[in-house]
Amino acid sequence: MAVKVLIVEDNPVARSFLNRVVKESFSDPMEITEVGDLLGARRQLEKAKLEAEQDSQHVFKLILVDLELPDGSGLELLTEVSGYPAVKIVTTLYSDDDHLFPALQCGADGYLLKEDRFEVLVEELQKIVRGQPPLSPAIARRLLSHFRPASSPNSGMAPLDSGFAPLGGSAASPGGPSSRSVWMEPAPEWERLTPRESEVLTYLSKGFTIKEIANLMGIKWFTVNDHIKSIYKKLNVSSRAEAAVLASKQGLV
Amino acid sequence: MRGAPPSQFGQSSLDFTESSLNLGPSPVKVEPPGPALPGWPRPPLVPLLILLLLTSLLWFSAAQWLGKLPRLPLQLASSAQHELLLKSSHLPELQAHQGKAILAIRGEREQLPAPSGLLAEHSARWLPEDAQRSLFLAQQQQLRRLAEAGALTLQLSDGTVLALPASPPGLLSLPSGFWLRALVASALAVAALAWLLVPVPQARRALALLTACQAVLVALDALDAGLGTPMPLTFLNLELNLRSTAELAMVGSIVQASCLHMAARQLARRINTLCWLTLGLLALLLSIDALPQAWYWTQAGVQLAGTAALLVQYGSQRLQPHPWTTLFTRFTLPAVLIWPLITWAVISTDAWPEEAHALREVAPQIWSAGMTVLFLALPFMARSQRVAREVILWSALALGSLAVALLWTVMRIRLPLPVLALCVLAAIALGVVARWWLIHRVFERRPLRAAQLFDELYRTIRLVDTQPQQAQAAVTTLLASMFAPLKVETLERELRRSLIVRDGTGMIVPLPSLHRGEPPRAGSRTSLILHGSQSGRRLFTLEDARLADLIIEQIRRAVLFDKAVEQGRSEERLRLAQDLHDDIGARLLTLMYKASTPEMEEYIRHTLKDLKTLTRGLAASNHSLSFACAEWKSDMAQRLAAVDCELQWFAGWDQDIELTVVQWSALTRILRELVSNAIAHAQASVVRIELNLEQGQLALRVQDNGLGQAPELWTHGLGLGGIRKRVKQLGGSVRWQAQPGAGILCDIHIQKLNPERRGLDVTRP
Repeated sequence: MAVKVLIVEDNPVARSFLNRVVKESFSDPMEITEVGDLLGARRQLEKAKLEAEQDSQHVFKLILVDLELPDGSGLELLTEVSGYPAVKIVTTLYSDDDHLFPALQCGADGYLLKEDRFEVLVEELQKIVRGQPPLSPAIARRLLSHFRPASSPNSGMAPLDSGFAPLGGSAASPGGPSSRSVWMEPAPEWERLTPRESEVLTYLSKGFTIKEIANLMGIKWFTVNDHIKSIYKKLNVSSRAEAAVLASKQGLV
Repeated sequence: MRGAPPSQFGQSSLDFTESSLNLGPSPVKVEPPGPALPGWPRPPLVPLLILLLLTSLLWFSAAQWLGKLPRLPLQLASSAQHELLLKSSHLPELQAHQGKAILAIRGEREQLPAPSGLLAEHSARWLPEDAQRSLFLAQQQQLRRLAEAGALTLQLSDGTVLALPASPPGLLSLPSGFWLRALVASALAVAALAWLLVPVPQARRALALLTACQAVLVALDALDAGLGTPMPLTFLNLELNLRSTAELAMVGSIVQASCLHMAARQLARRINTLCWLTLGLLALLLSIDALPQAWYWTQAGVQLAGTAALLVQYGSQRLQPHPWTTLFTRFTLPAVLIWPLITWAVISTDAWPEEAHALREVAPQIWSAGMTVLFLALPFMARSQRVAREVILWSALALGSLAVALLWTVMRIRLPLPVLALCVLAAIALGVVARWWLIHRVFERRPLRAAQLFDELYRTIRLVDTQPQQAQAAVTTLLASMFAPLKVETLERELRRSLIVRDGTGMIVPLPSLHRGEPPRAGSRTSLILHGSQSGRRLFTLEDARLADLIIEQIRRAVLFDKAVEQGRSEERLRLAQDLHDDIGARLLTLMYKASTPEMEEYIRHTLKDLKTLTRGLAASNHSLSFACAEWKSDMAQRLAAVDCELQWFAGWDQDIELTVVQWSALTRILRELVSNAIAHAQASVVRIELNLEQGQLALRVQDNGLGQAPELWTHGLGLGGIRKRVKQLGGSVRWQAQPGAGILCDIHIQKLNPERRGLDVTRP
């Protein structure tokens, strides 16, 4: 039985390129479906769902989604398939955290930068499928501020300092951030990282490689990877929980 | 800036809201008329209204009583020979005989032969000699006895005999002077109570007493006017005592007010006690008639105490300047100088020509009117320079004309009309000089001229704009140069506009809010409190507060405008970056996938990466060095790992600075170029990157162990030109060094890697 793969990409050249990357990455027989927009992707997913009722093998195991599609953003698709038991990977030209972080929040298991060389992409894809997702310093920094309990209300965006702070410094001011945590409830489970996880994130945000982090923390490199994977999962869970809280607040559920 | 002792200014920061916001214990909230004057405590209105009502009732019952008393239906005057003259009357039969001397006043049984000119007086207060006083009292008593007995007849110098109706004149025929003075006395009483009712500074107690004494004096004037002639003896005695006591109390409270702001507290208390004891003793002795020549004692008492107050004020200013003391001095000095003039005018009238006699009558009245105006205007004068200027100007004009008139009289020059006109002209000239002096010396705005102020304002705005963390210091400096305060403190309080506090000795200025749109966070805004304008010599006025508000608003607007411009620019850059990235990026990607040769593919990939750096540089504003280093390292490690090359990365800095977009993108591309060279051309297995920032100097060394070649043998097109260009852009130097068999070493040195300043240079030329 072939492994089903869905590639959502509007550029035909890039599509065939990714097709080659996927084929090169795995030795199993592949059944690759290529679509050019969200509509096609939804149709394919629907079809696979019907087929899966007869044979559970007929689900997609791997989905590659481009972020910029003609009829919408890949983020929409990611949200729709968040419960789907497939490895979801974002393929994009944007490598900055402003674009990638929302994708990870929507449940992406990793990302591939389309301008990377063929061999690099193959290696990265294999890593993601094996559970070693990439994490750039910028995204690590974003994650750190996302999970930091004190700043969770306004997710990491520090308020503009007017410069008219009292001379005594922020510690002396009664309305400063120190007093804010007094009435804050402790962050829920899904918003907290273990000390090890935040340590890994801190090192990553400073530009250390997995190997260096393993050395620094005195653990095996695959343990570092496990931590990263767990962080990914928590981010997805937390954003889904946040969405659920929001939805229930707005009476949508 | 000199520090002030805590007793004067230290506690001032907290007690103002109570006085400025609370309308007092009155349950009824009465909106005051006119625009609200911030900072100045407003007394509760209800007690004042009650007092006004009570005084009105009192005056009406007084008028009732006065209406029942017998009085002559005529006004009297005194001739130069101390004869009694018929001055005027509302009765037509008397009007024909105006200006005639009265030889005798006859009753039904007895008569008053040769009535003295003193009978024209309304009070014994301004009769200097004891003999005059007793004659005045005796004749008043006699006349009253005659009037009570029945109808009176006047024997005039031209032989006419006139019968006078002796019936009580009734309520309505009381002279208008009575009602006017009654009104003024009530206003003064209300003013005195208002001083007493507003909380804090003790100076107000002294001012309340001062105003109350003046109210008593004006009330006595009113009664005098209402009684006319003849007057009851008991009233005359009481009136005399009350007058001298009130005048002594006035001068005593001036001494007390002068002592209040004296830094030497112990000495001030002693002077105050001594003064009150002396004045109290004097008043007691005067009231029991224990002193001969009582008038001279009163005049001397007032003069001495006034001089003492002046001395205390000067001493106090020397020890510790205080604007209220300055204000007191400004009014005590003329008063102390004019008092002996009036005294002397009263003593020496007899020697004057006849025309000048009116002056003697008028002088005490002008004095009284001047004092009344002063006490009624005082609360407004301290608040607003404009009111103060006008009041002082007009008082100076009045006093000036009086002084000039007195001078002419003393020089025994008769006063024909042209000379009188000359008097007025001279007084106006004096007024003009006084005005100039007032504007340029006393109310000298601030040491800054307009041009300097604009200069300072511009500099402050630039400083706040470029270095927001310095904003508070910059605004403080600006306000300090405008108002030259004794000291400036910060205050955790949010205000909408500037407030005058502590009776004008302090001003609170809210710092500008630089948040646009969003409301400032609670407690995030602070204010500055300025103590003692012009080193404590001036009071802060409402004009100062409004000026400060205008300045703060200007700073806020300018900074917000700059921010808006900056935001617009960054939005535009963002749009440009997005377009570049989406269009060119996608095409380059397609081109890359279709590349015919690996070299071509690599070239396009390189271009694509440069494009991404460019667009990211456009989109992001600033990058801190530490974050940039993390990204560089992660990027290099990934690229080198892909070709099995080891990265040795060493980065250090003494201070984490913000890199500008230019610096960030230049350094990113330099690093990428150097690492690309090491991979592609040198085929190195180890790349060592050292980056060090120390006191603004950046040293970057990239070293590989590949196939080093002497730099002069390198072919162009390796991106070296690009590196040179970018290093030059950063103001640094680059040096390559080939180590035969040991790779290539590239040293980049940048002298000054400071975040470049936005806007103009704010340092002084």
